[in-house]
This record gives sequence, structure tokens and C-alpha cells, in this order.
Amino acid sequence: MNLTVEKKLTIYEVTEIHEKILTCLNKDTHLQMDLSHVTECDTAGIQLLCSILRTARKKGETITIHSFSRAIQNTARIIGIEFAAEK
Amino acid sequence: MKEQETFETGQFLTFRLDEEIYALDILQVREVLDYTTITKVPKMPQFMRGVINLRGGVVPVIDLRLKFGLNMSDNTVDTCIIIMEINLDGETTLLGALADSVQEVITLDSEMIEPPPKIGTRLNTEFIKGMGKKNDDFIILLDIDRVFSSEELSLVQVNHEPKAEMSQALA
Amino acid sequence: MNDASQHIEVYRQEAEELLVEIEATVLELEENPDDIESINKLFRAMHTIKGSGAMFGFDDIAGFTHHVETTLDMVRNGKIPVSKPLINLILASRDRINEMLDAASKGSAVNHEENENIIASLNALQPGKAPDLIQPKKETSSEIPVQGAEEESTYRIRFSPHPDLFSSGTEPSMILEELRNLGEATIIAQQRNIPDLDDLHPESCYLYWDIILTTRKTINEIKDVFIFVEDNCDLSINILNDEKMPGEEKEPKKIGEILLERKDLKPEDLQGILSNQKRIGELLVDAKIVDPNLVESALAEQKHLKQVTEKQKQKQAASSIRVPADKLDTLVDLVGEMVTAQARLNQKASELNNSDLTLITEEIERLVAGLRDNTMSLRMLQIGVTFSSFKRLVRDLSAELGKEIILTTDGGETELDKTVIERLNDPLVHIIRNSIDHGIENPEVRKQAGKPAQGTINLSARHTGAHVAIQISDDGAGLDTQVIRAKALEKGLIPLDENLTEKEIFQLIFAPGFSTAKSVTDVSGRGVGMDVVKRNVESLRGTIEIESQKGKGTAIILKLPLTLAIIDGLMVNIGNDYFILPLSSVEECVELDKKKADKIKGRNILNVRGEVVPYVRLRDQFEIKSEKPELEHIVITEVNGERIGFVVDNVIGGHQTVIKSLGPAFKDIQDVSGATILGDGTVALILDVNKLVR
Repeated sequence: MNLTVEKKLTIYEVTEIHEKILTCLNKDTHLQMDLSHVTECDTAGIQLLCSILRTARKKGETITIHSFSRAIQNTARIIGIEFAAEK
Repeated sequence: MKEQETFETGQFLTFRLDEEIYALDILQVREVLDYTTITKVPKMPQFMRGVINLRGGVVPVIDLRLKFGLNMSDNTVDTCIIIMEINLDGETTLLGALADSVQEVITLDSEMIEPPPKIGTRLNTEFIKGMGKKNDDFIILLDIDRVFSSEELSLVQVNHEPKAEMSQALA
Repeated sequence: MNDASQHIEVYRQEAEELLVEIEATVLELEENPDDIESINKLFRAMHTIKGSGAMFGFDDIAGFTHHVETTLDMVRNGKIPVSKPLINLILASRDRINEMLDAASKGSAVNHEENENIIASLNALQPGKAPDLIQPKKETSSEIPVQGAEEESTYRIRFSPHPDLFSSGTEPSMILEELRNLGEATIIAQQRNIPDLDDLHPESCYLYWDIILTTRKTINEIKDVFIFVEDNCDLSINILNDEKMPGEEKEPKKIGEILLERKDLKPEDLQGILSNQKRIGELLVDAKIVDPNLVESALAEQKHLKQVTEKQKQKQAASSIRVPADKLDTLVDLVGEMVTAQARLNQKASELNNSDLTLITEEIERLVAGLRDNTMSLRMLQIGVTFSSFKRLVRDLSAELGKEIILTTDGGETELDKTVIERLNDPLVHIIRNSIDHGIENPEVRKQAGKPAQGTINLSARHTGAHVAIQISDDGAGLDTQVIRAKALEKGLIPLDENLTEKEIFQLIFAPGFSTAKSVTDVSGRGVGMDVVKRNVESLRGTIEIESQKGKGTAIILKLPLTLAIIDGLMVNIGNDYFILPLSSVEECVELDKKKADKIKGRNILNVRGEVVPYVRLRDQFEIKSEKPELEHIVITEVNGERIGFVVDNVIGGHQTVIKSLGPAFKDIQDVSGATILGDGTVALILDVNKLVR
């Protein structure tokens, strides 16, 4: 299942995106996320991504993330988080 | 010289002092109480009878008979206290007046009211707004704000000798 | 009121409070230029005004305040010294911000030129242009300590936001970015608390940060980064290496130590892992290195310190809340009525003589007394706040007139009812202005008279029995009775041949339209005369008196009754009339022995344990005609430092007295200060001991 995140990944969108992901995972154990279009990302957004990756690692659900956009990388750097290279 | 006042139709509360009937503008009458214990305030002019408790507030009570030069009378079962709202030096305050009895609320048309007579009443004509007539009775309409103006109420205490002794003792 | 304007109103109120604080702090700083706390206080206050101002759209204020904040920042880093021009500028800035707040609420325009001028002056203070330093009045070194501005230090910062951080509108990346701007920062985000997707609340913040920051900035500047999130996070900042301790080996810390310090590792765990043995304390005791009691005591200290910090945290949280004044008034009224009702309950209970009922009634009496005291104290404010607000007035006004005057205060902790304090403000201002304008002389004139060049105005307040005495005294020129008399004659206030005592001449000052100033300066002569002051004081049922000595000074004394609605009274009776005397004036009650009551030369005097106490027969005073009892009693009171007795029939006892005003009809009355409703519904008069004595 594909999920493309639009331009914004901030506190205002995280709840909705979170729901979408859960719905996807209920139907399908394989999720592909396209983050290349994200132009605005804040700590809440990064936090959500952390949770996604953590869940993926733990539960063996395969979640593939395509392209952490520049904005995401930037914010992550500022707040001191390193995302492992693309799985 | 009093200007000719035009009178409007109004409602009045009538009450008795001795033989005569007086009336007050109903708009200034708050309520009527039965006679109750009056606490005397020392060294006041005679017509200032004292103060009473009105639902937690302290209200002064004036003996209108004494104010109008009548003799003091004994209280009867009809004696009551009329609580009025007056304007004293810019402040609205309550004042009680002793009445021998309270009659009723009447309406007087302007035709039924005449200006006060120049002579013939024992009352200071300044106190009278006008004379009304109803059913063969003459009713004296009181100008309550004048009756209870601060000059009239001038409640200056009477000094007494012991004080002179006092200051000597302290010297 | 919609949400936005409610916030704006809150901002305005808080800004106004801050401005009051700023003014007081600046004046303190002027007297103690070394006080770092004052400087920090000022900086924080300006910073808050700026930040909140920006948040609520007060861009003008925010923009202007920014400059003041920058200047204060330099002051606290020692780059700008505390000087008189600086003090004046900060005061001017404070006034500007006040004006801008007013303009904002009225919707009127802001005078930008004024702002520009101040900003330019502030900039001129920056290093490179050295103004005169204020000499602190102490003997010790006048160096203003610099807060370690130039050396680098390394700090460990743990930033743990509360879960609601995001909801409060804060974005951590901005804070962390700001930290990076302060120096070299290593930022590590801790993700361990982030739950799996199923358990995640995406809008809560689970992240926390460990930051190692090496910077030249001060710890204050680091704290400032977190100023707006102070309430939404746990923050700890520790200096890791202190350059000021020479000779100490700078060994890199062990992992265990670091973990310990960060509290990521418990000491027991560390010990356990390291040696699989007992705790340090136990180890030490076992090895007989330390007495077990000492260890216990150390543990107790540890625990104690923890509790102390807990309490301090709580104390800081327990601040004050704003209450609309009319809600307070309603509360006071209700309590008043409760006291009256409880008195009636008492009376009824004693009539019924039911022991259970009596017991309960006594408990209620106790509770009502507590409630009464508590509620009364709510309305009481310390007059010291009012006194302090005059310091600025004296400073500015004396400068304007070219005089040197200092304001001293006593008894600032004296409490008065809120309304009384508010209504005293104008009269006090006028009296002080008079003192500055007409009372205190020019420095040259003073020196010639052998006085110190600097004049003193003293404000003092104290409780005397049932009154509060407020005195405004100066060491100025004093009142000249000749001048006053002449002026009064000129104004036609007194007839030519009238012979007046000094006191009476002083009283003339209170006559309407009177002013002895040869030049009615803008300062005090604006048609607000001492007659208005007197009226204001009397409307508070107080008295005003003048004492003065030509050449020495003048003292104006205000006496105000504690207009508390409820006082402790002593109930007495004469015949069928009941009266209340304020218990605070009463010293003792004795029987009046007819034999002991001396009539020496016609005076009423009593011998009380060797002391001569004059007395007044209230029966005679009040012309009470009823029959006198065989045995009378004397209530001995203290009035203005003297003991006077009042003869009554009986002393009934203490009585919680809810004071009711007699109303405007009795405004001229002397002996009676008010009335109260007794348990049986009748009215008892409260006697004014001061006036009775005169």
C-alpha cells in the first residue's frame, strides 16, 4: 500500500497521517511511504517518523520510506536525530 | 416668592399627624414599617428620635410631629415608620419618619392640587409643595427633600459641661 | 469577550504590573548599582514584555522594548555600567511603554519620534562612550562584577518538555536552533519514550534532549532561550568544567559518573553492576569507616534537601490570583451578615439552654470568627506599596525644582483596607507635593541655615488603638504663622482683629481657596487645595492635623479609623441603652467604688494602683435619665497615650461588632463612630473614644 505525504508534516497534520497509517496497516502489512514531497516538517512530524520506524523494527511490519525530503532531514538534524539510511 | 408650580398628576401616600393629613410622593416612599425599638442617639435635637435596624442597615428616624412643632404623642398600635428615600447633599439615603397612622395611596389629578397658602398653616411653607383636596379633606403635600435638607437636619450636638472638667483634669 | 481580546487584556494587565515592578526595581538599582539581582529582574521583565507583546500583536511595543532589552543585556554582562543617564533612560523607556500601552487601548497613534530619541540615547550608552559611573554609597569597591563574560564554559543541559509542549504552541527545533547559535552544541534527542504507532498520541511530546554546549555566553543567556517554555518543561543546566578552579585535574568523566549525574543511572545500580555488593553507605559502615548514625544522618539530609526543594517548587507555584474587587465586597457583606446571624443564634441558644445546641453554637462561633478574620484580611493591603510609589514622584519632582530630597518610609507593613488606601492616594500626593514645593528649601538656603543640603520627607504609618496614624513630615522651612495670617486676611477669611492660636492659624490652611505659595507652580497649585485634602480625609471618617515649627519642618498627621467592617468591641450598658467601645482601646475595667472616686477640686479622678486616671461619666455626657445603679463600672481606655476612664452601669462583655454606618444624616456627629445590630435586632451605638475625650 502506498501512502504519499503531502507538503506538510507538522503538528497540524500528524494526527490525520497517524490515523491513515494505522488504517493502512490494518488492511495490509506492507506500507510504502513517499516523503519526498514534504516541504515543511517540525518536531512532531519527526517524532511521528521515529514511532513509525520503531514500530516497523519491532513488529516486522515492513514499512518502506522513500526519500526523506530535504526539509525532513533539516529538521531532524536540528533536533539531533539521525535517521538510518533508507531501508 | 415661590414661583407658580405646575402640578402633575401623581400618586401619594397619605398619613396622619395629630388631626391633619399629609401626603408624600409615592416615588420617594420605600416602605412602611410598624413601630419598632428606636435606639436613641445622644445629644441630638428632640425631633431626631434615633436609629432603627432595617434589614441589617441603620436608618435614622425623625419625629415629624416635633419637627412641625406639634407635641410629642404616645405611640399607639397605629403608629408606624415611613421609610423614605431622600437626597442629602448629593447622596441618596434612607430616612424614617414617625407617623400617627398611615392612610392609603391616592391619586391626585393636577386639578385637585393648589399652591400652598401663604398663611394659615403652622408649618413652614417651604415644606409644602401644595394643597390637595379629596373628599372634603385638605391634604398637605410635603416637599420631603426640603423637610429633610441638611440645614433642617442640622444635627449639631449640644455640648455639655463635663468636657470642660475633662480638659482640666488632663492638664 | 472573545478569546483574543481576553488574552490581550491579560497581557495588558500583566504588562502594567511589570511596569510597576520595573519602576521600583530601577529606583532600587539607583541606590544599589551593584545589585545583580535587580539588573536581572529588569532584563527579564523587559524580555517578557517584548516577547508577549510580539505574540499579541503589539509590534510597536515589542520593537521598542527590544532596544531596552538589548541595553539591559549589555548591562548585565558588564559591558555597560550602571550610571545616572542609564537610570533615567530606563525610567523614560518605562514611561514610553506605559504610554504606548495606553495609546493601544485607546486606539490612538504612537509618537515614533519620541521612541527614536530614546533608542538613540540607549545606543549612545554602548561601549565606546563612557558616561559617569554612579558612585555607590558603600565604602567597598565600586567595581561592578562582570559575569564571566569572556571565558568559555561547557554546560550539560537536559531539556525534558512536558507532553503538552506541542499543544502550548512551542516548536522545540526553534529552541534548539537558538542554543546552537550560542556556541558549539552537541544535541542528542532521546527517543526511548516514543511509543509504537498503536499507542502513540501524535500531538504529545515524548522526546527529550541532552545537550552539551560550549559557549562564551552566561548561564543566564542559556536560560533565556527557554524563558517561554519554563512552565512546560523540566530543565537542568549544569556547568561541566569550571575554569575558575585552577589545579584541578580535568579528567574526562567516567561513564558511570556521567550517567549518575544525569540521573540515568541509580547509584545502587552502578554499585551493583560494578561490585555486585552493597551500597556505599553499607559498605562504609561495614568497613567501619563511617558510623552507622552518620550514614543515617547523611541519608536524612539527602531526604531533607529533597523535601525542601519540593516545598520551594510548590511555593513558587502557589502565587496569587486576581479577584474582581466587587466579588470581594460581596464576600465581606455576606460574612458581616453571618456574624450578625450567629450572634442571634448565640442568644437563642443561651435562652434555650440546651447543652448540645450550645456546644454546636460555640463551634460555629469559632468558625465564624476564623472566617471573619480571614475575609477581613483579604481586603487589607500594606500601605508600603503606596509609599514606594511616591519615591519616583519625589525623585522626579525634586530634580525638576532643583532641590535634593530623599523620601524615607516607616511602617510600610501597616495594613489598611483596600478602599481606604485607594482614596488616600490623592491626598498623600498633594501633601507630598506641597512639601517638595513649599516645604523643603533649596540646597543653598538649607546650607545657610545650617541644614544638610539634602532634605528629607518621611512617610510613616502605625496602628494606634482603633486607628491608623499616617504622618508626612519634612525637615523643611516649616509654616510661618505670619504669612498664613496675612494671606487669610487678604482673602478675607478672618476679621482683622481676630486673635488666633497657632493651631487655629494652621487650620486656616484648610480653608477653601487658600494658597500661600508666592508662585503657584504647576506642581501643586492646580486648584487642588488642602481643603480638598481635608474633605477627602474626613470622608474616610478621619482627621487631619498639622504640627510645624518655623525653620525646622512640618508634620501632617492623618488619623483614619480602621474602617474594617467588623471589629472586636466591648459591650456596656447605661440604663436600657447599650453601647460598644472598641476593644483595642480598652485597657481594663474596674468597679467604681463611690468612696475611691475622688472629687478633687471638682474633677473626676480615680486612683488606679497609684496612678491618677481621669474619667467621664457617660450618663451625664449622654443625658441619660434613668436611675443610676448602686455599683457602677469604669472602662479604662488608652487614647493618644493617655488613660481615660468611662463610667458605665455594667460591662457586658466582648462582642463581635459589625460596623454599620449611621449614614450622611449623622455626618457631623462626634461621640459616635457608627452603629451595630445586636443579637436581638436592636441597634447599639459604637462610641468614638477619641472624640469623647476631646
